[in-house]
Amino acid sequence: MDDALHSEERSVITDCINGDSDRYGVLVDRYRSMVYTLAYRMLGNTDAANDIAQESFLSAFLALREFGFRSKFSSWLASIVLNKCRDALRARRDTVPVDDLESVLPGKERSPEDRASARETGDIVQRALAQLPESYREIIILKHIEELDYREIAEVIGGSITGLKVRAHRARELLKDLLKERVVP
Amino acid sequence: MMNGDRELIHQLIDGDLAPDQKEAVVRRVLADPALHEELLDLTAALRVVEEQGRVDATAGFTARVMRALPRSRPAGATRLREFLFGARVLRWNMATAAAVALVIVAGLAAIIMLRTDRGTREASTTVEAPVVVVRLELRAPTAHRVAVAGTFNRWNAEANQMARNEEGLWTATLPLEPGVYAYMFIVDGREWVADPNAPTVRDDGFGNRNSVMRVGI
Repeated sequence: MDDALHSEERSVITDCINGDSDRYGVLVDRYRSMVYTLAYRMLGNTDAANDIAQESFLSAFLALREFGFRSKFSSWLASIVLNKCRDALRARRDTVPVDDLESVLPGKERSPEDRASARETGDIVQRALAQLPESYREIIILKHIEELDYREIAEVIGGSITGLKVRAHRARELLKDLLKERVVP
Repeated sequence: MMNGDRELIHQLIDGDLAPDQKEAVVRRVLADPALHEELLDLTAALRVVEEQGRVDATAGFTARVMRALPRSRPAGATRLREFLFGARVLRWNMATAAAVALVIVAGLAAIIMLRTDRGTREASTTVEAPVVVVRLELRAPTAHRVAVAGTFNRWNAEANQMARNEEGLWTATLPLEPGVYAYMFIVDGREWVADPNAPTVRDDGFGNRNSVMRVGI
């Protein structure tokens, strides 16, 4: 981790623990995009993602005394977000049924122009992610959207590097099958 | 296509192959149409995912978070909540019993000393509230420095440096008020180590396990 960043975050966190909660805004501004992206890609719903993102920052703030600086703050924060997403998904089990997915995804007969639509591609990717088992979805998001390396991913979700690689390989295979002939030329 | 072939493709994507291995795998992929198609499909799927990138929260997100923060200092509220409702895991064995006994004996000794010898004691001992002298130790013969940080010093990794004896046993003596304290050792300023003799450990809910000691009279 960049030493200057680490040192600054340590100072901010210490100030927050000592009662200067205004300083927390530095961390919220720095990581709001990461937190919201994780929540949105996991849940597939903007309102739910906003709620989870906000709750995650609040939970992290309340637990700052327990943080202990043993990992990167961003990794610790990401683990909080994913825990909350898992809870939310367990609570409402809102994965999109396959039939529903098929009705939304463009079929082979759609034109290349349609497929080129960025918005449509985004929807397709999001729905494909929703079809992955949660543990696969997590690793695809962390590896291929957040672009973490496996050591960083282990900090967030735990597990051995080898185990995480195996999980990533399986997740990619499934994702490839979900996306094949829909967005893949 | 063999599973081993798929594995090689993923290793190629992860950048896990040495240059000579990479060259051999690429040759193999190019020579096998099925393998080649597999690689193209995978990389195309990952490319569209990676192109999605991050999305940002709605405008005013930071302000909403900041408004939701508790106005009072979180430390006290969190400590009280943890004390009243926090999950506690007790693991009893001989080492645990010995560690607890050590804390209790040290506490009793400190109280007796305070009561019988208060008039002549050095000012270095806190006398404003009942204080228990707690001795923490960690065996780390290869360490160059060891400190202890926890809720008693706001997780300050520098405030309480430990002393080393000839056998590589690091010790710290802390005068603490009765209470529950989470703590960890910091070896050489970077490695956070749990106390193997800790009577209790506590998961902070996010995958980290702190050592916990209960200091009582």
